[in-house]
Amino acid sequence: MAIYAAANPETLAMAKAGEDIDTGQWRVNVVGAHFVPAKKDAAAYIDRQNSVVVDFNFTNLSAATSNLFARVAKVDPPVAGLGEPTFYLGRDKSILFDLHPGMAEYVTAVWKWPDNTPPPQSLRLVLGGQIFKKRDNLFGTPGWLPGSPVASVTLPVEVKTDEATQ
Amino acid sequence: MSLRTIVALTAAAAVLYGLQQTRPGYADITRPLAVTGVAGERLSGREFTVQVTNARLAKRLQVTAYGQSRILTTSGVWLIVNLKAEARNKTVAITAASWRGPTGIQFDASQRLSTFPSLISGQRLEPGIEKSGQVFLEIPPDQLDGGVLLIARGPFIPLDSEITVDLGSLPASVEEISLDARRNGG
Repeated sequence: MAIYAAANPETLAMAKAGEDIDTGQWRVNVVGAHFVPAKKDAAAYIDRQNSVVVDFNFTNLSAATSNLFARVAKVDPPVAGLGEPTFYLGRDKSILFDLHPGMAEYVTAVWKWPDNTPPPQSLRLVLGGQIFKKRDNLFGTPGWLPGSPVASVTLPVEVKTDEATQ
Repeated sequence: MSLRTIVALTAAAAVLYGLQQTRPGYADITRPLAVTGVAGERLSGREFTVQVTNARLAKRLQVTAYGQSRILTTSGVWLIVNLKAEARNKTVAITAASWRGPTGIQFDASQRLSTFPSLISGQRLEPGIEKSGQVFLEIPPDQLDGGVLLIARGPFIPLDSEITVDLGSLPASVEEISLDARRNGG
């Protein structure tokens, strides 16, 4: 069965921006993406970098507070030199630590875009799934573990110059 | 392979499967030891003692600290718990607080105020010296009734005490509560 599944992978569902996607632990809705060029004379370090900003709505569907939303969306195909994004909470523009169960939040992810890479015309994100294991293989403790990808979203990327990154 | 061997192997497999399915898992065996009580009561765990002195609800927090003031909104409601705590045998910190709703859903203390000076989690507790501190949580309003506050030394400390406090009936939610670091929270 596993060999058959590996030989005949299911095609990944293509979701649209604004569509609710259930990844297991999260309900995700990708709002949109934009590119913010570096402002060389900005006071904050983050504003002196090229950045790609993606807005999400996240709802934690699990029974406990979690910070694993940070691992849901991955840029695909990978871009050389692109690190992990920083997440900001939409309601107070501060760095987001974790999301509580059942409390939907508007979340902004900011990727520092490599200087030597041209701004993207579009961005494809793959949304990874999570599976709940009552007993994991190491300790036998319950928890959410990474599963196979659930959907992909392709977003047009506009350049926005007048807006602060966060 | 004789019939007897096959029967014995099948029976052994069935017994082992039954044990695997019914025996408590690692997380159950090493879970924290609950110390239950109500607000106002001094509750002693293995390493520390706490007493909840006051609990309030608000839709917004106005937080003044480190020379700036900001308003923190939430999609639920803010629960602000004032408590007193003291170490028992040696210096400890109590860094984990959460709310367990009536259906078992667990809301950890909000980290949006993680640098606020009056947080109990930011203080060193010494034996014999009682300190006051606060805990801030964001909870959907429907998870308040029948919930309990959980306080422990840390989020994953097996077989250590976890204080479970029933806060009783909470006051009605107010629009805004001001917290000022210069007045030790308030």
